[in-house]
Amino acid sequence: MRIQRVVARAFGPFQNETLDLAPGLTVIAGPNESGKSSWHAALRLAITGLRRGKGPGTAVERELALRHKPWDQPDRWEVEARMQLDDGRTIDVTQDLANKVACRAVDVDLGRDVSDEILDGTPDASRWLGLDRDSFATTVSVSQAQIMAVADAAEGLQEHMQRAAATHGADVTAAEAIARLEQFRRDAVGADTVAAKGPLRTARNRLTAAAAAHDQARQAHADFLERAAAVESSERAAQSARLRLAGAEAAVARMQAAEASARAARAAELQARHPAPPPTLAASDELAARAAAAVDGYRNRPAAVDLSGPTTDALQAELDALPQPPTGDVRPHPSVVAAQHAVSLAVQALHLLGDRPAVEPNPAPGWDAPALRELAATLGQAPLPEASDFEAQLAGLRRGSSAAARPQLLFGGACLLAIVSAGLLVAVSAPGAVAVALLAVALGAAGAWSLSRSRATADALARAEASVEPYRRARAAATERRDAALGRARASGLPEDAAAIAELADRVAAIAVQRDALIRWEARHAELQGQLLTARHDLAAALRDRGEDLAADADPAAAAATYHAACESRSALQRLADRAEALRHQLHARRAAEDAAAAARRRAHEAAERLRAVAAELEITATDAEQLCAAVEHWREERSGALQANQRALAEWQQLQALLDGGSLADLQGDAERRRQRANELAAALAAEAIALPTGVQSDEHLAALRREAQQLEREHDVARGALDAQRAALPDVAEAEEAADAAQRELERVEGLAATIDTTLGLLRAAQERVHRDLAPVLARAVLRWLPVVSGGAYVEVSVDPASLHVRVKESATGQWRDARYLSEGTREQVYLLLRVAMAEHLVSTGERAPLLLDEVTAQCDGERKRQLLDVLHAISGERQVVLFTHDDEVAAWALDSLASPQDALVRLDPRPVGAAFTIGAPSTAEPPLVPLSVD
Amino acid sequence: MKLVLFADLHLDAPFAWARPETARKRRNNRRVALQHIIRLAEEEAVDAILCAGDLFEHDRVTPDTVAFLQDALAATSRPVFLAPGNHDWLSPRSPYLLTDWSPNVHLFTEARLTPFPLADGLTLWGAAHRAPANTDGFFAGFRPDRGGVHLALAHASERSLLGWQEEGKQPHAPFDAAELPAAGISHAFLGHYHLPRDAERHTYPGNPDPLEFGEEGERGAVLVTVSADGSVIRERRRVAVSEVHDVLVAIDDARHATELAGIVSDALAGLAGCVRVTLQGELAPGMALDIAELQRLGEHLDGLVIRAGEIRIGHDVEAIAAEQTVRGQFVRDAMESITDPDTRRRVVLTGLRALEGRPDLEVA
Repeated sequence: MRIQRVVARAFGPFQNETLDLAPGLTVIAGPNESGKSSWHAALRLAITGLRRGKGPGTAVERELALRHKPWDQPDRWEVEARMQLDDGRTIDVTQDLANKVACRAVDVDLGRDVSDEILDGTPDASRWLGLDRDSFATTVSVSQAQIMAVADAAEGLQEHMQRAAATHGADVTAAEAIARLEQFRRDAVGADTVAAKGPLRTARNRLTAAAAAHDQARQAHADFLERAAAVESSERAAQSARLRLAGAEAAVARMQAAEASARAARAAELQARHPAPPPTLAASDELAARAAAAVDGYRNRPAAVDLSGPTTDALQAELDALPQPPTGDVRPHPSVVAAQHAVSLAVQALHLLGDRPAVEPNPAPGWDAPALRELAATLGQAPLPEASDFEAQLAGLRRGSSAAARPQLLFGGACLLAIVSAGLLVAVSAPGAVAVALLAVALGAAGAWSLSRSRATADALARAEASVEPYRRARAAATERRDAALGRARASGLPEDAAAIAELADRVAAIAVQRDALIRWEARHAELQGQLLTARHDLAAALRDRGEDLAADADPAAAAATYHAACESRSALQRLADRAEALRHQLHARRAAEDAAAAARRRAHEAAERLRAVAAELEITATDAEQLCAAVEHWREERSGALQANQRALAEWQQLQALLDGGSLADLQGDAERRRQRANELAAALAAEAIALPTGVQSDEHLAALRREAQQLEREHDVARGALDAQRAALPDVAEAEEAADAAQRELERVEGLAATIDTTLGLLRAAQERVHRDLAPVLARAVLRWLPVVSGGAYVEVSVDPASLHVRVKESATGQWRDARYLSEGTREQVYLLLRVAMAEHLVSTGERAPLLLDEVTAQCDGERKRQLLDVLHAISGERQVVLFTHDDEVAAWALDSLASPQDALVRLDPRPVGAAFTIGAPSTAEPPLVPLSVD
Repeated sequence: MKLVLFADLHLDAPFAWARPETARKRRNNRRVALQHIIRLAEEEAVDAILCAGDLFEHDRVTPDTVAFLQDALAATSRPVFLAPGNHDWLSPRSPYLLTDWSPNVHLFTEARLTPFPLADGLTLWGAAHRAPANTDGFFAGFRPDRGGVHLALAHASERSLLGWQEEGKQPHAPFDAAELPAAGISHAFLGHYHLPRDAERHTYPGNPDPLEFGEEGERGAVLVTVSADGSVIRERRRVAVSEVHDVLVAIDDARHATELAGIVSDALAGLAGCVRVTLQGELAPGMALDIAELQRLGEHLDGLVIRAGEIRIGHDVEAIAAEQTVRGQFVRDAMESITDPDTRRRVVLTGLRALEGRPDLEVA
């Protein structure tokens, strides 16, 4: 962007005056009061305009208006500028600073309004530079005050750099912003430790307390409702008890009223019946007693006895005709029966033993079966062969043994042939020696076989010769034994054949068995005979014991049969004799019955007589006793009724007296009426079903128990009600507690949200500061380095910028040492500052445009040499971007005259203006660089 | 048959946003609203007063409120029918059961519809919530056991209306409108939805006294005339005591705090009761927005709530983001890394203000 001209339509002291600017360096020189500040302001406001808005605007805007509004036309404040953008467009900007209405930016070539591109309420051409009104002033415009600040304070340079890096220099530095936020966080949030007392902890504590209070309020409310329910329950219980008591009292009262009423009615009835005491009848009399006894005696007289069956006499006659009881056994005695049984058993045993068995005679007397079998065995053995057979075999063996001398001959021949073979081998020829040697070997082998055979034959011969003698002895003994056995057989007349003898042995053995059976039969037979004899003897003894006369030789069995027949006869007699006892009992009973019947008849008669006597006294006549009895009973009944009536009357009289209890009937009736009214009163407030008493209880005790229960429940209810009332008075308001908790929660959320916002902001700011400084530091270093050697006269040749703090250091060429730019001379600091501003302007303008530099008295602190060096740098810079330098310094103006060349550069001289006078325009000198004249429309 | 219907009075419900004295006043207003309803019933000589639940809040109701209710309902001889809702559900410890109500008060106590003959051939069926939640619908499968015209009184949620109600509304005792004719109910008088609704066969009167800011619809008590055929004629009557206003204030034209205070003050002029001011628009870059300071403008009101609505950052954020400065980098980073618009706004404003050296670093 290059500003071609500024037209002050109505601005401060100017009216339609124009300031033309060269595209390179324009030096605007003039003394004080020549209008430099006004043109500086007009130039800046022509580009940026003023922000549109209601009210008086900001303090800066107010200050601008105060200083630069037209003095004589306060309603009109206008300025225009023509500028050429780096994109080739020429723009006319019109700023209606007073009304902010007729503001516009117009493309001169196209005649098109381009205000929208830069509109910020009003057109702001600094936007083409990526700046705004504030940052344009701090980036593009460099004032004397800024230069002086850098010159006066060592920290000014760095602070400006940081501020510029942070906000184009418009506001505070990032570090200040961070510090401000950190302090704000400490103040508005504070720590979150337990001991902290800042807003965050306070909010937390408040929320905790409010939440606890809310919980307590809710709990208290719930407890209250619970207690209220309990009170309600206790009240219902007390009320129920009261109802039960009232019901019982009403029931009792009703009952008592009924009783009183009944008593009164009864008393009235009795009094009506017995207005005077009734007479007292004799409770008993002797005649009535006798009449009762007579009637009772008659009614209870014995009944006539009905006698049937045989009479006493008939029974006596039958008894007398019976036989006497027999003597002796009427049935067989067990001892006789047992003895008979033993005899029968003995007889049966003998019968079962059978007849005596037969035994054959022994056909070989003196021999028993084993001996015969041994004899048959001896005779049956075969004879041994003769010994001559063995001797022939022995001779053969002896012949074989003699032939055993041959092996030695064979071995000798073999040895001889071996020697011959050796000789032949040494002396004659080998083949012959071999043949002889083979022959020697054959003879040796034959000798070895022959030697083995001769040794076996010798062993067999020895064994045969050792056994032949025992055999001869054994054969002789066998022959001797057979001969002896044959002799014994012949001597006993036995056959000599072994088989016949063996058969005879079997027969003898069978006869021995028969003999053994006979022996056993005889022993058993003798034993049974003994038993039979004993049994018969015992039977005889038993019969004698039972009184039987038995001869010594009598047959006990026959005697026993006689005994049995006698028992039968005696048994028949005994049965007849046994009836006598029954007849005697029957006779005795018959006699007793006849006596009793006679006594009954007598007592009945006496009862009838007594009845008749009493009837006679009662003057009752009747022919029949039954009639008499009925008449007497009737008399008794009448008599009893009269007595009972009299007793009832007396009892009723006593009852009446008891009911009246010393009072009158009217008193009694009055009491009944009062009780009835009381009962009605008690029942009036109760449901009919509530008036009741349990059955089977004592009303007084029941009422007392109900009263105690009602009083107890009433006391409990009173206590519960009192506690509820006390709790109600202290019951916290749940809604208010909830609202307090909500408020505390909101406050905590606000503080926490604020803390989060601050923390996030701080994090982003720190990161942004670090990144921007990191990017900016090399840019600044390069930019300063480009011009520093020139402006410093070669004193400093290198530059470094700390990314963290943007501290600038320069390297001294003479010593090679790095020096902190903050501590350089004032002039050097100014130069460095200007270079940094240029660098900043280049860096901060982000749109591709090149921002002009508007410099106001920036050389004021420089000495002559450095001033020229600085101006040379500015002149060089103006080759890249437009530079407008306002100065009152004649040296600068002189430098401009010497150094600037038209049309790239220009020097504009401003003359002092009298107050209220218009500016005069210095005429350009032909010897001077062509000046851009100030035109006045 | 002439009835007056109301519901959702929510006696003793809290006002989280309000100062304690304001909250107390608002709670008292609801009591007065009930007195207005009863007075309306007297003036209109209705045959009965119907309350469709949430008369009070079980967890918060004070003994004093119960005593007030006892007296208020006893002040009329007209029958009062109460159908407990989910907030005043009928627990064993409910004031409904622990209070000796005047004889004209009839409480429906069953979690199913039970009858009360209003007149010959006209029966009012009512039900109670026996729990604070999970109460089943009352109308599905219901059939009257008698003839005549049948009305219903309950705290219930018609499903199709749920989406129209305030956020967080739970469908207690839900039902579909079609269930009413199927159940033989000529008309149901209902509570629970605070947004009023006059449907063909049911009526939601809405909360009689404002509960929240921004409530819409003609809420209050409903005078109902029931014809012999069960059809109804409804007339809404305002019984509210509280005056509540919801005001939007544009701050675009305010260049500084004094100017903003003037705008807000103008917006509050002529208003009474409780006011909620929602600030929206572009906040001038140099202006300090001090909510606490603005709250003081409502000292003549019962309550004033100032809240930041859709407030835009007045700075030219786009231009700042294009800067090669720390500020530009900060804004770029914030715009890129913070997704929540409100958080982003707060952070950007906080950072910019810090960089401007301003003391008002807390962003509303």
